[in-house]
Parts: sequence; structure tokens; C-alpha cells
Amino acid sequence: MNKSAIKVGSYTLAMRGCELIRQRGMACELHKCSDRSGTYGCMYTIYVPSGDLWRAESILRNAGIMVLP
Amino acid sequence: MIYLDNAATTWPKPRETAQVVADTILRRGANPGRGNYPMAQRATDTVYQCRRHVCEFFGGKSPEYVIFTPSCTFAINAVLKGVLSPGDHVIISDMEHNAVTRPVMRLAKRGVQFSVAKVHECDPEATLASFRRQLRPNTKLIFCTHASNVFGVKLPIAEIGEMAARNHVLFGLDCAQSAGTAPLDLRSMHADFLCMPAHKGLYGTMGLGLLIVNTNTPLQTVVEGGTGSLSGLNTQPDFLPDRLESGTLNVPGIAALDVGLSFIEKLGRETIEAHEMALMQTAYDAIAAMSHCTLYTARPASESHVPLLSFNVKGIPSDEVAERLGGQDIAVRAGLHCAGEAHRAMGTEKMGTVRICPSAFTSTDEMAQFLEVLETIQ
Repeated sequence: MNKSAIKVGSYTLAMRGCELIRQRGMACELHKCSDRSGTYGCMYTIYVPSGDLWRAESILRNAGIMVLP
Repeated sequence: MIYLDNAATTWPKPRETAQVVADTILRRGANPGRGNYPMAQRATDTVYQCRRHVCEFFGGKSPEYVIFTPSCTFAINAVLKGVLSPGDHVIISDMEHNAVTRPVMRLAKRGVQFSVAKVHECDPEATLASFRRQLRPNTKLIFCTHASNVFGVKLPIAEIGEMAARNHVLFGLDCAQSAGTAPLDLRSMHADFLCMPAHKGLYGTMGLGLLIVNTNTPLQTVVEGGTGSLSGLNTQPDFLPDRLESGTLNVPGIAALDVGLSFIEKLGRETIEAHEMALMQTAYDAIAAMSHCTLYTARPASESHVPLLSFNVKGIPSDEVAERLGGQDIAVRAGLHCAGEAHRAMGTEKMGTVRICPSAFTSTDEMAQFLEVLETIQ
């Protein structure tokens, strides 16, 4: 799943991101998770089943939503 | 009871409010934005749904720019203390509530400079000129009330906002007495920050305020802590709303606010404003005809006032008038209304005033009964 998921810092950003992605006709799901490196801790992932992460990420970045590495 | 203290908090609330608060406690009682089990998810969704609703209601940039705070006062403090540093200059008006005046006085002790612009009732050009005269090269923020909580006088916020933008000065508004009643749409006005309580004209419950951010200028934080996000970092997140929202949110209050907004949309903000203003005009005309009473403003109108009135009964302290009305089961507020500066500006700081304010629920019969009782208080 991680290969098809975008990480964002908060639920609000994840929900907003999902809304924007869906508005552009792409499916996505939101999940709460923890950063296993221990750096960031609690975060959210937006899972994009189509795997088109580049497009989904640009939608988020264009809306000013910070995507975590 | 005839309740005319809606400027302090609206009462009653919409029928669904108590129900949704109970439902939130029973079914959505988990901590929002923390757990990922179903009840926590429902709580989190409740918060986001209301955040989006507020954003749409006020024409905000995006839901993440809507910040839930414990009160309007907290939101105002977040702006003033988040923007201003020693050496900066801020302009406020002479109609401010202590929610603005007191933090500014505190900041002044730390080296923030301030000026007070005089408000001229029903003369927007003169008020705008007052603000313009106070501009300095180091002016960073203009922060003022949208409408006086004591006298109902509106400030020309569109014009002040344009002037602020032209001069690259941030502009914040205390909308405590206008949100839900007066037009407020960020798509058609310039303002960087709107602050308001949930429990007044938005028909929510106490213990919740809103800060709507309309700028990308970052605010310094007043409070830091747990946000449910990026918990591995020891520093506060730099993105909204988390940057300004530490600690567990008031989810029942947020659910109630959502209901309050829907209530206003169903009735229509314009309808509510027209109803309340008609009641205040009726009251004004009747009180103006009572030789034993004193009014302090021009006849209220939507362009220049929000629907509330201040008056006094000659020779009787305002507190005593309120107490006598209370004895007849009529609820009004007397005294200085946490706005000493506004009273000093109008010369009522010694006796205070009696303030009445209707809501969407106030009837013409109730106003008529109040006026009948007031006639007898001499």
C-alpha cells in the first residue's frame, strides 16, 4: 500500500486532499498511520488505488498541502 | 421569560442543538484526530464537516484555514499576539471590547505601539479618515470590531480593509456581534483574520470560538501542544489548522455550531437580520418617545448598525433598571458590557447602559411587552 500512498501531516489536510483528488475523478482512501522511522510520528496517508501518485501529489501541492517525504 | 440578552449569548438555541450535543457525547465521544477506531473517526469527521461548513459560510480560502478556538477572545489574542512583535504598531478603534483592548495594553508593555481611531457613527468616510490618520511606517496590523457590542455601531470594514491592503497592513476583525447577522463574505471583502464566537449569532454553544485565516502570513503561536499530528516532532506543526489548534477540541460544541449554521441557512441570514432590525427600530421609536429614557445612537439601520440598542432610564442606574426588568422576567444586560473604552467614547462610562438585543426567536409581541414594562420604570 505504501507505494501507492501519499503522506500528509494531519487529518484536515488528508480530508482536504482526498476531496480535491476525488473532485478530479480519482479514487482515494484515507488512513491514519505512524511514521516507522520515528521522525514524524502520527500522520495520515492518502491511498490512491490507481497508483497515479504523481498526479495526486501535484493536486495536493497545487492546493498548498504539504506532502511528507 | 422575554430574553433580550442575545448580544451576550443567543437563547434559546435551535431545537436540534441539545439533541446533537447529546448525540455527539453518546456516539461521537472519542478524541478527534487521534484514534483510528470507528467512534474516533466519527468525532474527527464531525470536526471536518463543520470546518468545511464554516469555510463555505464565510467564503474562506479552504477548510484548513478555519481554526477552532475556546472562544472569540482566544481567537483575537491569537491574532494580536501572533502578529505583533516589539516595535510593531497596531491600530484599534475606540469602540473595542476588552477582548481587544486588554491584549493590546499588555502588548504595549512589551514594546508594541498602538493608536486608537475614533469611530464616527453613520459617517464611514470620517471613520476611515480616523484610521488613515493613524497609519505609520511600522503599522503591521489594523484590528477592530465589526460592530460595537454596546451601541451596535458598524465600522466601515470594506473601506478599512481596502486601505489596509493598499498599505500592506494586515487587517483583523472582531465579529462577535455581527457573525450570523451581518453580511460577512471573504470572497467580496478584504480581511486577513475573522474572529467570532460560536454561541452568539451563529447559534452554537459556549466554549467555542472561530479564527478564520485569510492570509498566508504565518502567525506565531500563543499555545503549543498536542495536535494529533507529527507527534514525533518536538516543535509545533507549521501547517494550519494544527499550528493554531493544540489540545482536544470541543467536539460537542463543534457539532452544535454545524447545526447553528444550518439553522441560519434555512431561515436566511438576510431574513434574520431584517427581522431583528425591524424589532430594534420598533424599540428605538418607542424608547425615543419615552421622555424618561435616553438613547445614544441614531435610529438603527442595517447599513450602519447591527440589531442591538443601548439606553438608560434617567435618574436610575442601569443595573437597577436591569434588575427591575429581571423582576418582570425580562432579561437584559446592564453596566459596561466589558467595553469600557466604548462607553468612554460615548460618555456613558459612569452609569453604563441597558442593552437589548433580539434574536431570530424574539417575537414582536415580546418586544411590545418589554416596551410596556419599560414605560412603567421611572
